[in-house]
Amino acid sequence: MYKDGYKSVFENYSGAQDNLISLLQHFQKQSGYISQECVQEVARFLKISENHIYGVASFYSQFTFQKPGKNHIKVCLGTACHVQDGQLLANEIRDLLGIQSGQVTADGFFDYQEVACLGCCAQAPVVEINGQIYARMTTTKLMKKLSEYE
Amino acid sequence: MPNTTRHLTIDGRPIEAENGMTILQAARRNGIYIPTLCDLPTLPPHGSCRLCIVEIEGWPKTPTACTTAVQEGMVVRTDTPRLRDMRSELLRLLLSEHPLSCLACTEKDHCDECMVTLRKAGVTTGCGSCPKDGQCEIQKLVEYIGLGEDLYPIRYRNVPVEHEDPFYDRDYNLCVLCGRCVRVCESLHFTGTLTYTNRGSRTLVGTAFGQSHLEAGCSFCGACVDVCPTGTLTEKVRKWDGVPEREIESTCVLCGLGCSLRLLAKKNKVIGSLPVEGHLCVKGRFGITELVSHPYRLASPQKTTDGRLMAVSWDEAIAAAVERLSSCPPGGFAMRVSADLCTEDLYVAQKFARVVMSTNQVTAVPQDAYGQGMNGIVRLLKKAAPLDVIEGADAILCLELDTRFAQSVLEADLLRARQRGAKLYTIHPDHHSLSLHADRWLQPAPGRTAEALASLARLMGSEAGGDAEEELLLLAGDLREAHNLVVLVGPEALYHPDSDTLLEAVEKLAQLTDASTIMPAAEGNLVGSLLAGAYPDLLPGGSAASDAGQRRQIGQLWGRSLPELAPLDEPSVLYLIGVQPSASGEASVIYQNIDQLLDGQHADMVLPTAAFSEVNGTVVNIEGRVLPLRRAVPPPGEALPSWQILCRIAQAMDVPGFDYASAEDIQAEMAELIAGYRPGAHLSMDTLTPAFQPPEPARDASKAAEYHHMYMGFPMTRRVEGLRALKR
Repeated sequence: MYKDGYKSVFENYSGAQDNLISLLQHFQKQSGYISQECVQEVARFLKISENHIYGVASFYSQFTFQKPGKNHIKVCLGTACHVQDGQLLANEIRDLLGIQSGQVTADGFFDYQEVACLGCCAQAPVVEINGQIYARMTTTKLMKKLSEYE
Repeated sequence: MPNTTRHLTIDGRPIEAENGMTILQAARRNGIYIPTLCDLPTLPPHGSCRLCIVEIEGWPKTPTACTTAVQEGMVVRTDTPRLRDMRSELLRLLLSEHPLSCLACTEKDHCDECMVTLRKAGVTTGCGSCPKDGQCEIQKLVEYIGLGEDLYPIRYRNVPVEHEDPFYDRDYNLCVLCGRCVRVCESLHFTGTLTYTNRGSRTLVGTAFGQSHLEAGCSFCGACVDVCPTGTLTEKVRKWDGVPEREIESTCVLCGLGCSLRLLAKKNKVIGSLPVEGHLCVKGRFGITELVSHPYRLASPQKTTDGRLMAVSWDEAIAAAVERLSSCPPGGFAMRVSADLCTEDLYVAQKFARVVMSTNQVTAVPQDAYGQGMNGIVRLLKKAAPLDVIEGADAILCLELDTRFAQSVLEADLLRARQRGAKLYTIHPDHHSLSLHADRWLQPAPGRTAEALASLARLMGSEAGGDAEEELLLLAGDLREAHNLVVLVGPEALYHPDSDTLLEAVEKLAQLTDASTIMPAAEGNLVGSLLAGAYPDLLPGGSAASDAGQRRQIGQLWGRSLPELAPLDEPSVLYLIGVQPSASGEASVIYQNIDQLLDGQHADMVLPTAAFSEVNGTVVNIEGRVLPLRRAVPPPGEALPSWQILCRIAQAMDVPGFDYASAEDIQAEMAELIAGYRPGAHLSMDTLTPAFQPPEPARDASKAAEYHHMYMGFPMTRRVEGLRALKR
């Protein structure tokens, strides 16, 4: 009937169309993204079209369709970090990884996002790698840090 | 009784409206124009373009007329300087995302005449060569509202134009996000192919994961193209044909439903086909233009001379046909006709065989295709329910009915019924368009549908459950609970080698559950071919050819005694109308069709005939309604309607009774044999007799899928390129 891993989840839902967002939230949390397979299975369960589900999911920024990388890099471009040349760090990472904000490297090792504020402006410019904040970053420090992950 | 009338004033005119109507609806009904881009009368209000803003006395702001309900005593103004300013501003904002050189070009006025800038600009940047030029609703709005001086700079989206799907192109650089296409797909057709993706300034209309429409489950009904106010969605075939000169209402003959359509004509060519109201399927919407306006259509009679087909005049062709036919013995003549022809053609064809050639050997194609199922088909047709029984059904059972492409018109009906609360059950061996929506999907092994249905009918007949499969038991239980069951027999179910078993089971099931049955056949005029008597075993009116009394009666009308049923010898002349010659055979072949022979096929004579868009006539749909065909354009070259060709031959052979001046003359004669036959009538099919002799030998069902999409004996894919992409 449903593919492995979906049936057990669907058992907790009634199958009414308003289950959609909570189902998507569940799968977003579980796998870190909404896969094509997930959309197909949810469509079968709720009897609505895959396109409709995609339309809903793409509206909300809490859902992503991209499988996240193994390591997560975030560069802050909020006001304080902007003033402290956070953009240089962003440029450095884009060059180094060859990807834009919101993308994942081809080998799936890093994903990269430029964010508005990480909430530690006193330490600007900051970079977050796998949840760890690195304060007063420079391009040299950033290169060194990233090389630890290679 | 509550008072449901509301009185209001629009632009100083006192107006009555019903409670619950919007201001826009009330204004439209009274002929007051309020500009709008996103609203369509057939769709729920959306309120996204904001152009229909109005002033209402006592209201501080300017609400949109399409989303504001009328109230007693409202005083509405639709055209004030303030509104004009605001609308102009709104339009400028809309146009900041819509390339508009078609409006702003300084050379526009000379464009038609001198074409100085013809396609200097790309299509997507919207120069005068935008495919919607002259038919674009934005152009009309700009004319009404005016743009003012300062235009905003254009934010060009720069998304690639989507060409990969068949039938229509999509250029979302021109989209103004009015949402008509999304709404028509979702709320009228229930297909849900289109959706808004992303949000804010990045919003676009699209599909899941940027799939093509084919992958995204689109049925290509074209409704989105019809409602698009801009050049975003454009039909590929019609892209540069411009504004049609005339529209002719006619009937689609590409399947048995007989949908009404509007044929769009320009000069002597059909350039498009649109639904009259409601829907068309992919064949009716996108298949017709290429089929009937193809440059390879036959345009002059041809005769084989020294092994080669050479064009000849009609007089020569008729003389040659007469020569072949008069030397042919009655037992050596056979005629095969397509069930896509109009009833007038079919009637004259069988009369030609029976009177001129003194034989009953006239066979419409369905008999070859359905073989032993023919009697079952006739029995089901006799009880056929009108299509609108679906609206009142509380349970619907579909048998091998895939409504994605060819029957997508029915899909909307079925899904609307389901939304209303009716249960939908489907029996189909494969994954199909209804499997997502069905409440129960019984999936028999391929080729076992008849068996499954027979067990179902058995189960329903006996109270005891027996030892049937669980799925079958559940379905039987559900069907027992239904009060108003409708059974739809898909066209594919009719090709099974055991279609007779299947149809018997359907009959039994319908009898047990008191269900209505609908059989949407693939031929445009299956019922017409039966009523016209275009079969050896059937006479006009549908009585059995073995019935001597009927034969006498018809003979009196025709002034000629009818031949008795005689077995066919090896034919020496084969007359084919809308039918392909088989590869082998010694017979001399007269090939009368709209399109050329396929490679390797042979005929002694080729006679060009008119397609359904080029004749006046009638077809009978599966409900028994007599639907009009109207001539939209003349046939190409020297081609003639099929009945005229037959009449000319008969007259040249000095046989009386073939001097019809028009299709109406034939209808008048038919009405004497088929009770009540006239355009617009809803016939009872009770006179049809299941008198078909079982075929010898049993027929080969391997060509079933191909047969499904034929017109005049050809697969439609031969000329309609886009259809090739739709793997059935």
